[in-house]
Amino acid sequence: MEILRIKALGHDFGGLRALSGFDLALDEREFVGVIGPNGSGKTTLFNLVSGIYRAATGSISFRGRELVGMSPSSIAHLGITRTFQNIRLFKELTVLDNVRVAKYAAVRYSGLEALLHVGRFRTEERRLTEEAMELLTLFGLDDKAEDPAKNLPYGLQRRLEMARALAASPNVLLLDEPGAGMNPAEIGRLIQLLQWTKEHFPIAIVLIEHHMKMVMELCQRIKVLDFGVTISEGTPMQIRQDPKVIEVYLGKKDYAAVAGRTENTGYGHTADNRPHG
Amino acid sequence: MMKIFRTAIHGQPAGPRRPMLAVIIAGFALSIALPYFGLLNKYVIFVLISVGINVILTISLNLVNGFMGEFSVGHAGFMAVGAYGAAVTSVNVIPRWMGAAAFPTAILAGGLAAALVSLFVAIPSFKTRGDYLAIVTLAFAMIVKSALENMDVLGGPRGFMGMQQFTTLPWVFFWMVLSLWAIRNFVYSAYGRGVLSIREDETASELSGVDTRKVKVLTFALSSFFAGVAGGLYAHLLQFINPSMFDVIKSTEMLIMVYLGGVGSIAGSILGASIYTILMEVLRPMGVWRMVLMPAVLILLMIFRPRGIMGLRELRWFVYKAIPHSGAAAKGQNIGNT
Ligand SMILES: Nc1ncnc2c1ncn2[C@@H]1O[C@H](COP(=O)(O)OP(=O)(O)OP(=O)(O)O)[C@@H](O)[C@H]1O
Ligand SMILES: [Mg+2]
Repeated sequence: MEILRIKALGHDFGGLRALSGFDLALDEREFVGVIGPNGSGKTTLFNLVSGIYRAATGSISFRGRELVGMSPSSIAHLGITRTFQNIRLFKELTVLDNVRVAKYAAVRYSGLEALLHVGRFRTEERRLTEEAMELLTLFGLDDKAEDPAKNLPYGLQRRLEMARALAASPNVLLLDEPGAGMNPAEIGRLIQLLQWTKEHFPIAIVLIEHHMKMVMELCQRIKVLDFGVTISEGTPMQIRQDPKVIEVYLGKKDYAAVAGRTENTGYGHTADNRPHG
Repeated sequence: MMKIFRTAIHGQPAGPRRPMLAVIIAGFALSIALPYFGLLNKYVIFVLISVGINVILTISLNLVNGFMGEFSVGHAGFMAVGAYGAAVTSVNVIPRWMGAAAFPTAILAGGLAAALVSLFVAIPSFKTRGDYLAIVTLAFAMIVKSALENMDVLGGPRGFMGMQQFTTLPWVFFWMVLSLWAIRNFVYSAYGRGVLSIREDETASELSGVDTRKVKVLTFALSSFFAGVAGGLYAHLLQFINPSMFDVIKSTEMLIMVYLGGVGSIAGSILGASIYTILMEVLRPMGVWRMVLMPAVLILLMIFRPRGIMGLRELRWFVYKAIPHSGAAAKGQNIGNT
């Protein structure tokens, strides 16, 4: 069953064609990877799908509904959520509240009930707090529930971002370089976490990653971008052998080397966000 | 001392059962008894009433500036709308024989008038992001002031009078508790989490499903409502209002109280308003030099404690927890741990 269909999607920034002619038909519970060198338009794709930018050309339809022109919060309500390349948690809020924020649309009480703490307010708050705690427990963050998000170590911050993205029970999860700034051991654990997430939640995942190991192990299909253009598409095996893909990563001995390309990438990159010390 | 204050962002064990309720009842009883038995002179009562009104103004502005992280600088405009709204309701709408019984109606009318007017500011301002609100609210406060100066039906620059002195200590205490309670409830709700998330990262908030436009407009209207309530109380305290009472200095005073007491804190709002109001009274002999000292205090505060005394921290009595001890309670299946 197809859940998301992107057709001829394109966007430019003042003459710079960041993405063009992008197509993707995503099935329910499918795991698709998007790779490409720095600045190839991967994050732009997510920004278009999640509604941060309004696509210049093309269409994005989610279960038959056109998303282009919708507000990001409506798109999130419909069932598409995401994480960010450079972690964007609500730093001063507790770990628990970071997740509960994402349940905004799930509460069934009115503004007046909220103002007076009456009616459905208490039972609803209890329900969604329990749900949030369950999610935190699954992600091994329950004992940190009352800590401010900014106090979490880097790896857990990434995990919390994922928990937050899952809190609204989405059908499509967009992950923008969840492995950025992680060492091979951490990557190994992240792969396990993602595998488990996919089994546990009924979601389709689109994964942007520079760590080839992750993409190759997790994704059923991979799309390769270069300068905003899709230059290749196929199974991990096909991608691995595609000369066009190899050419894009020219100068790199193998794909593992690509994994190291996390620093000095210009626009909004993660490596700098890693807390020091 | 430090034990009772906790970081708002940390959880805490549930305190004694309903200590707030006991404090409120005792406070209300005192607000009736002390003036009744002549234990406070008129001046002290006036100062206490001013503290109460300023607490309402401070929590109201703190909601927008401290909790939501926007920057509104013309809050006196909403106070003015509330003051005139309540005064006109009292003098021209409510029959005089109803006396103090209709006072809450007049105050509500002032609050609602301010909330309604705030929509004209909020809806266009929140279409765009950033510092736009500061400029719009500043302009708004100026427009309100000059509009009032030019409306002869409202007395123009000479002002408006004829209100009875309904604003007594118990009434102010009542409205203060109501304001604090409502805003605290709002902050500890899904809307309130939306408000805080907007302060932390508006884009991430929107992408997490928070309807940020709606939350901002609602919050701004709620804030303005209570600024209007404070204005109504003020009008029925002085029995006379004129446009120049609601000038930039008034707005600045509110900012000082918010940033003195602490951004994003209910306890901080109470503290900031109390310290500022009492200090200004104590320093009254200094005359105009007060106006030099207070901004200087603000500047020092901004340097040494930019979030204010209680910035982002909360008195545990004000914190609402859906599930007590929720932090430690859950234990179960973990994944991804080593
Ligand atoms: N808001 C923006 N304004 C102007 N140019 C932008 C903007 N966002 C992205 N770009 C440009 O669009 C191109 C694609 O950027 P994008 O962030 O999508 O790349 P990416 O594939 O995610 O790269 P990376 O691997 O470094 O994250 C780049 O040339 C980038 O500089
Ligand atoms: Mg990117």
